[in-house]
Formats: sequence, C-alpha cells, structure tokens
Amino acid sequence: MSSGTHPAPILSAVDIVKDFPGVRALDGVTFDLLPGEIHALVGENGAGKSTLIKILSGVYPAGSFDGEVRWRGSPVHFHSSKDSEKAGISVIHQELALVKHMTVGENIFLGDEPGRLGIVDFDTLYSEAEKVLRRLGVAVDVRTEVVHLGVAKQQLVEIAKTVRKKCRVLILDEPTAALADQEVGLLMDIMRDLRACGTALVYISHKLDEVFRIADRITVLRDGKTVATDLAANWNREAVVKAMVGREITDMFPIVDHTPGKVALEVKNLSLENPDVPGRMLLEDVSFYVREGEILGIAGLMGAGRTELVSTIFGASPGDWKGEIRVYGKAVKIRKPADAIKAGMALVPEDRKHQGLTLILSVLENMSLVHLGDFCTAGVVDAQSEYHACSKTADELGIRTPSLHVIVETLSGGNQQKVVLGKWLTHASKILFLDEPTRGIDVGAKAEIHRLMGELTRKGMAIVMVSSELPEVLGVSDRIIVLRSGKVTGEFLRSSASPEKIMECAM
Amino acid sequence: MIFILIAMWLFFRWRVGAFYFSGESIAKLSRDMATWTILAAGMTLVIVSGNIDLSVGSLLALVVGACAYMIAPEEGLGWSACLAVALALCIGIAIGLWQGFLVSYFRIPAFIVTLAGMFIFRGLTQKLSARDPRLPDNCFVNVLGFNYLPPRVGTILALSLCIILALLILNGRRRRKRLGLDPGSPLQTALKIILPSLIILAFVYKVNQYRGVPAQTLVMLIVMIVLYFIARHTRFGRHVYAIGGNAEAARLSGINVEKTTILVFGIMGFLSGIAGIVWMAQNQGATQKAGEWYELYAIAACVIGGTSMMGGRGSVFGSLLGGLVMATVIQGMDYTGLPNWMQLVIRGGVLAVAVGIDVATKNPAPWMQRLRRSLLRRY
Repeated sequence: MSSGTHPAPILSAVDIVKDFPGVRALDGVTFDLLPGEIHALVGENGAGKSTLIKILSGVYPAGSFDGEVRWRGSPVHFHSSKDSEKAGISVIHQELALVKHMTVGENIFLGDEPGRLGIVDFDTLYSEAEKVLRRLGVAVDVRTEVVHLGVAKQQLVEIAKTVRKKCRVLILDEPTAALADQEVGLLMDIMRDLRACGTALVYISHKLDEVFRIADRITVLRDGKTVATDLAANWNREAVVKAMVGREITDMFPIVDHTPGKVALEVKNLSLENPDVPGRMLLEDVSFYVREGEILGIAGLMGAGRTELVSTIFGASPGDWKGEIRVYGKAVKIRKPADAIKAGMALVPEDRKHQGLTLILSVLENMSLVHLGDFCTAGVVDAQSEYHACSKTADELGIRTPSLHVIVETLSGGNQQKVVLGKWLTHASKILFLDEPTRGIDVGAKAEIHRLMGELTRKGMAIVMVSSELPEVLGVSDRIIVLRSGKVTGEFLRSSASPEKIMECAM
Repeated sequence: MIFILIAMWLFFRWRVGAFYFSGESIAKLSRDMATWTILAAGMTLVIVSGNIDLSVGSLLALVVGACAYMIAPEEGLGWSACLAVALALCIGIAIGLWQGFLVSYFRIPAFIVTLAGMFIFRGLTQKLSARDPRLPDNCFVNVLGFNYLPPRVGTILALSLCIILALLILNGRRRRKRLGLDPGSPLQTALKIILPSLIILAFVYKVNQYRGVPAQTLVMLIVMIVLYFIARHTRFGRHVYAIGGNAEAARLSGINVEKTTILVFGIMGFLSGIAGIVWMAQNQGATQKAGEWYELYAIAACVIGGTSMMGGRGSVFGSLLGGLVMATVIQGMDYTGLPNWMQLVIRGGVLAVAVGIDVATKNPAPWMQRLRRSLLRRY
C-alpha cells in the first residue's frame, strides 16, 4: 500500500484485536479509508467484517478491543454509535431499522423531526422527505406506511434516511440483498454522487460483480486478518475469491450428472387471488412439474410471484387459491404446512431468521423440530436418539458449530441456512423447495450448499429452487421456468438457456 | 438468583432468630407457597408459549366457590365430595380450553381474553361464595389442608426419589456412551445426583422434625415434576417452546399452533382447579376473596425464575425457585411484624430488585458494561 501520493485517510483502524468468549474475531486488522473513495470490504461470513464495522462505528465502544481507531489521523474513542454519528459516520445495516407502522416521511426524519418546541411540523417533514426521494430518484409516496412497501423499496427508504444526513463516511452493509437490478443501479448512482461530494464509502457485499462495478479499492478479510488491500483495477474476480477463501474455487456450481426419474410433483392451473386487491391475481394458471433427481429453477423479478407460488404449494398461501397438486401422480389436498409435510414436501423459506429458524433455541432444538415424532414414543422425546440423528445430519451438512446445544442465533448465515436444511433432512423428504437458498451467504458456503443440492438429487430428491441470482439459476438448475406477474412466461433446459433469454421472459 | 435466595434466608435468620430454620417454619413456608406455585408451574408454559393468563386467581376462586357450594350441606347442595371435586376440575379445564380457543381461533390477544376472564370469574365467585360455604369436618378433602405425610413415609418417599433420580441419571449416562456421545465427567454426574438429593433429604429431615411433609407441598412437588417432564421431555412441550420462540417458523415446520395453544390454556385451567382444591382444603371452604392477586404472584414467580415475557425461554424448576423467593419475602415480612402497607411496598420492591440484579449479571445494559470496565481498569 503506497502512502506517498495519497491524501490522508479519513478513518482508519490500526492493529485491531477483538475477542469474544471462546473466539478471536479480529486478529490485528488494519484498514484505512480515504476521503472520496468507494472502498469495498469483502470476506467470508465469520471473517470479521461486521465486527470491524461495529468497532469503527462505535457499537463496540473504545475499551472493548485492543488497537486504535483514527479519525483524520488522530486517535479517537467512540463510546457509542452516537459518538461516531457526531463525527460524521453513518451506517446502513443489513437489518432494516425502519418503524413498520410509520410512514416513509416519518421514518426518513426519525429522531430528527423538524419543528419547534417539541411540536412536529409535518408539512415541512413531508415536503423535505419528498425532496430527498426525488433527488435520489426513488419513486415512493412519502405518506404510505412502510409496512405496505416491498422489501426493495424499504431498503431504498432506509438508504434515503441515512443519506439525508450529511455524512463524511457512509458504511453500507449488504445494501443490495433485497434489490433488483434496476434498484441496484439506482443505489450505485447515489453512491457515485456521494463520492463526488467527497464522502468516503465502505461497501460490504458478497456480490463480487457489484463490487467490481463500483469499488475503487478492495480489502479482503479472512479469519480476522487483513489479507490484502489494493486498487480494484489491479484485481480480478478469481484473485479476490482466492484471497477470501484461501483456495482456488474453479467450479462455483459443480455440475453433477444425474438422470431424472418419475414425475415427483405436478402442479396444474394454480391460481392465487391477491388478498389485498380483489380481482388481481398473484398467480395465474401456473403449471409445471419436477422429476425425481432433478433441480427446477424458478427465475423472475421480485414481485413476479415466485415466493407466493412456493408458499401456496406448501400450504402457507397468503390468500384463496385453486388448482391441482399431484405428488407421484396422486392428487393431494394441502391446506396447511402440516399437510404438505405429510405429502413429503419440505420448505427452506426466503427469510431464514423469521421463517426458518427459532433464533433463541439451540441448533439441536431447531433441527429436530419438524420430525420430532421420529424420536418420540407416546409423546415423550428420546433425547439420545434425537441427538444422535441430528449430529449425524449436522456432520453430513458440514455445519460448523462448537456444539449442537449452541443457540442458533450465534451461527453465521451460511451455517444457519444449513441448520434450516437439516430440519428437513433428518427424515427423508421427497420434494424440497428452496427459496433464495444462498442469499447473504459467502462464496465458500454457497458452493457447499450447491454441492449438497447435487448430492440430494443423486439420492432421488426433487428440488425446486427459487433464486434471483441468474448465475446460480443457470449453473445449478436442470430445467428453468420463468415467472412474470404471476404467469409462466418461459421454460428452458439448462443447455438451451441463456441470461438474455431468461431476462427477456422476466421483464 | 439462588444466591439472592440464600442471602435472604440468612438475613431473616438473623432478624427472626433460630426459629426461622426450624422444621415448623420451613413446613409453613412450603405450605403457604403451594397454591400459587402450582399456578406458576402452569403459567410457565403459558408464558413460554408467548401468551399470558391473568385470570388464574379468579378462576381458582371460581373453582373453590363452585366446589364448596356443591359440597356444603347448609349453604350449598350437600353433594358428595368426590363428585364435587371431579366436577370442579372439569370446570377449570373447560374454562381453560375455552380461553385458549378464543386466543387461537379468534385471535383475541391473550392479555384481553384473560383480563376479561379475571373480572367475569370473580363476579361469578362473588355470587357462589356469597354465603361463605363451609366444608364439613369429615370431608375427605380436608386431608389436603391439614394433614402431613407421616415422617416414616416421608423419609421413604424422599429416599426413593433420590434413588430414582440417581438411576435415571446413570441410565442416561450409559445410553450416551452407547451412542458414542460424551457422557460428561464423573464429577458432573456425581454432582447432578448428589446436590438435588441433599436438598430433598435436608428438606424432608427438617419438616419431619415438625410433623412431616405437608400434604399441600406434596401436591405442589408432584405438579412440578409432572410439568417439568411435560415441558422438557415431550413433543408437546417442545412445540410450546417453538411457538413461543417463533410462531411463524413453528407453523412452517408443521406444528399445529392453534391446537397447542388451546392445550396450554387447558392445562393452566386444570392446574387452577387443582390449586383451587388445595386452597379450599386449607381454608375449609370458600370466600369471595379467594386467590386474590394470585395471578400476579404466579407471573412474578415465573419471571424471577428466568421465564422471558417474550416467550420461548423459561423452566418449571426456575419458577419453583421464583416461588421460593416470593414466599421467603412474604413469610419473612410476616415474621418481622411490619405494618401491612409496608409489607406490600417491600414485596414489590424485592421483586424489582431481585429481577434487576439477575438481569444485570446476565445481560447488563451498555452503561453498566462501561461502568464495570472502567472500575476494573481502576483496580
């Protein structure tokens, strides 16, 4: 890292060491941020990115770690995130910090409402909020409650809220997890504008394509250490991945050769009415089939109805629906998830924290939950056989945890996702639905999950995978269907599919 | 929390004198806490499932009133005690199931359903118990109120309990070894057997010096053991914890949330009935004020014992510990003869302080952490 011709860093971390009970999260990390640059921070889950950010923003206060944080070259001690905010550091977290039942305008000015003597001036609030959104190019009505917006728009409101406060340093933690391509482009424009004004940005992301699109410099963390920092121009994707993982990942999507068998699941003429807007359909006449040993990818933009399709088949439909579902040729009536489970289906939902796991329970308790009956006699749980089966499944899935009794909240995203998978695999299911299985997961764990999917198909499972990542859909699926506005607009074999063809059907 | 309890015991020993650790005093402590600790056992499951039940005190009173009314020859119907007790328990179960039904199928918040129940049942109690129905002296139910387990029986029971505990733990150890799992160090196993056994034997020894194990305490302990078993070792219990931890994930895992919730409230109703029978025995009849405030004692016992109001976390024996803390405070206040108003103030204060200390040691607020760090650095 040459220092001679560069301007002085505005924010830096020097030799940071941070320990948690039982684990050293950061082991001498050095990181510096120059004004007017977009600096990407990449690394596997557990590499220490979130910890470093929490230290830089004061969430972990001075005194709870060794090493120095410097602001404009001089050491600084943040005792809370308020201190760092006062210095001019803003953070956009992965978890949205919006109040769901307040309006967009109220959220944008949360904690900073305009007005005198404690009385809020709503006219100013809404007009200023509108100005902010217009400047950023976001089209949202400032008076709608946040809860009515989709996740993508919510993320944009969060970004608007943070960007409104003039800040010198902006840290974005996985900001595009829920955004579609168009919105990602919007975010990148916003970031470039900020950079032109002299703001320094730290951009944390697993999506290397985006990183290479926007970043000036890239720092790679691995196992709590800084592995490398360099100009993005001096690097390519393979080199970054190698630095992150420490080994060559040549095959991101290992292609397993398998021949599909009988038709395991057949869906005919599935239609779902929108419960909020009568007369509008969320799904219209959707039909498809999946065979044993086959992976069917469902592609499409956000809002196309993919998650609704999978939820409906699994018995968790948001509204009234009609259509036919056949498992191995036999028609089944599915009214609730328990019916679907009895028919041999399994679902790894989109939101693993709120739908897939019970965060305060242990890994063991989460994994045994669905098929607890297998370990029971007359309603009494046999703890030993439960532990035995779950630990076997955990080993097969490669779940990294010191013990099965650890609270699942402490696991990294990739391991949490494996626990959700493990819930279903302690008992042989026939049809597995995966909704965004590798969202927010690092490259190494992603490859592992794809490998697991390949193994499951080899054993004869039928897999339906919903994914927003085109490379994943194209690399992993045997067949692909594309949804647009609730209708099936395209069907491809892997060999005849291409990103352009899929995008065309999706838009 | 256990240290706070011991500290309290030592404090009262100092204030009250040697009598405090006598068999009679210990027996009285265990008797007085029996009714609402039985409620606390059921309340643990309710709170863990993510709900709350504010009606248990009034439901207890209703059961007491109905049962006494059925039995009392002069003020009531004069029916057979067996029939009355059975019917009263059925009333408890039915009302519990009904409240659970309202919560799960009508989606009325549990707080509101049981708050309404609290008023409704209290009103019905006032009518049923208006004439203070008395139980006749020869009623078999009185056994629960005034009898004690003969010391020899008590000792045999305690010893068998300890032996069963030892066998269960050793058996578990053997099975773990057979499955290739780590059975834990011999020291751990020994402690797991010895500590609870010592407590059981010490308790029984002390109360035997007085008159033996009180019947109410026996009922309370049986209820505790059964509820512990249900919560920790049955599929139903697991489902309760799962629902409280994340109802949506539970539903997507195939758990029938509605059925489980109804059952939880049904169990609570049943336990309200049992606690009611014990109360009725202790008081030889019914009064309009039966069980007043008991729901709050039950909830306090659960919270002191570590049950989280957010659901998904809590233990039955923790609630027993919480009940001990509450009972210690109440009884200790009684012995020191403070005026009634002061006792109430202190009771509330101790609840807040006890839980506050507990939280501060396990999950301190950021300013506390900073304070601790700066103090540690100074010294």
